[in-house]
Amino acid sequence: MYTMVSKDLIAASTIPIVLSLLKEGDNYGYQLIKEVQKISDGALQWKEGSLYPVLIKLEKNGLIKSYIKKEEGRNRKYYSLNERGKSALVKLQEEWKLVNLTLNQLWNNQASLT
Amino acid sequence: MEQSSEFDLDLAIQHQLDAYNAQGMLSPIDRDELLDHLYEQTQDLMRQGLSTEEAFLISQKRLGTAEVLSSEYQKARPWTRLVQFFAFAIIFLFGLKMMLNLMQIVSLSASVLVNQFLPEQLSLFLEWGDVSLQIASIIIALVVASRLIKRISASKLKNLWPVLLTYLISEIARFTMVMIATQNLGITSYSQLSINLSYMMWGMRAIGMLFVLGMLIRHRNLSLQLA
Repeated sequence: MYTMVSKDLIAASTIPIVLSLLKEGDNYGYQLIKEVQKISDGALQWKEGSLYPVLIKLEKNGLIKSYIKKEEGRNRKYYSLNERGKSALVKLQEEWKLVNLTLNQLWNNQASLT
Repeated sequence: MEQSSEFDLDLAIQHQLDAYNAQGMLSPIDRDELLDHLYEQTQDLMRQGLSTEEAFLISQKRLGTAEVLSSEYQKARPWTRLVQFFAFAIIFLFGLKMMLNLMQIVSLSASVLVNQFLPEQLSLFLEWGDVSLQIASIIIALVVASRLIKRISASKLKNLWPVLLTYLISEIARFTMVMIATQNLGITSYSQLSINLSYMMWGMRAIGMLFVLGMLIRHRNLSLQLA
């Protein structure tokens, strides 16, 4: 059994994760879900259906773009990161690094006290 | 009983997509996206040794319930419902006006033709033939409209310009026909021709409006993809 990440944290981390995955290359919804599961070793269980509306929001905000590609006889909707998305990701990375750093320092200090 | 044990994946997926779209929130592209997701996940799970039905049921469950999905899509596109409603209202109203234009064009061309070839029958035609023609054309138009409405929703109509353009063309055609009829029939204004019909016309318009309203209510869940 591995620890599962709480709903709130999943919701908060979805956008930086999606943007980071798209930075690696264009991708489609189902594949994004699979990659998150693989990378997090199953700890990040997305509500799969919720990812698509998130992608719609990101596209509306101009962070990503979508296009249709015919694959396996079906229309597959691919997403790609654009310039605005890239700069948004840089900002998000800074924020998350700060949170990460703060927590690490707190927990390391605690560890050294005990 | 052989057939009932066969699981039809294509059909199951279509049913599921219909359920997701019960609120009319999915565009054709959203639908394709979710369809692709369900197929891929079902196939992935089948590769792990599950039966088609088991694999589909798990994929369906993981994707989420129709209510959850619908509300998430609604949150992502808060204005969709309103825009759709107005788009449909515009299509219906302009469609109705186009229908009335068509009716006038048919009726006036018929009157001109009668005047041209059977001038002695003109008064009889204006009294009876014209009215029946108008009623027939409006009935045909209503039937065609009710058949077309689902197609309009399924088509990838990106904006309302085609509708407005068609309407404009019908308006120009009607105006031209009125001019021709005015000259040809030797009357000074169109109203002289249709004065007997004015009550009829208002009746028709009222029926048309009721039809528009009924259609809007009946098809409130249809989605129109206006990007």
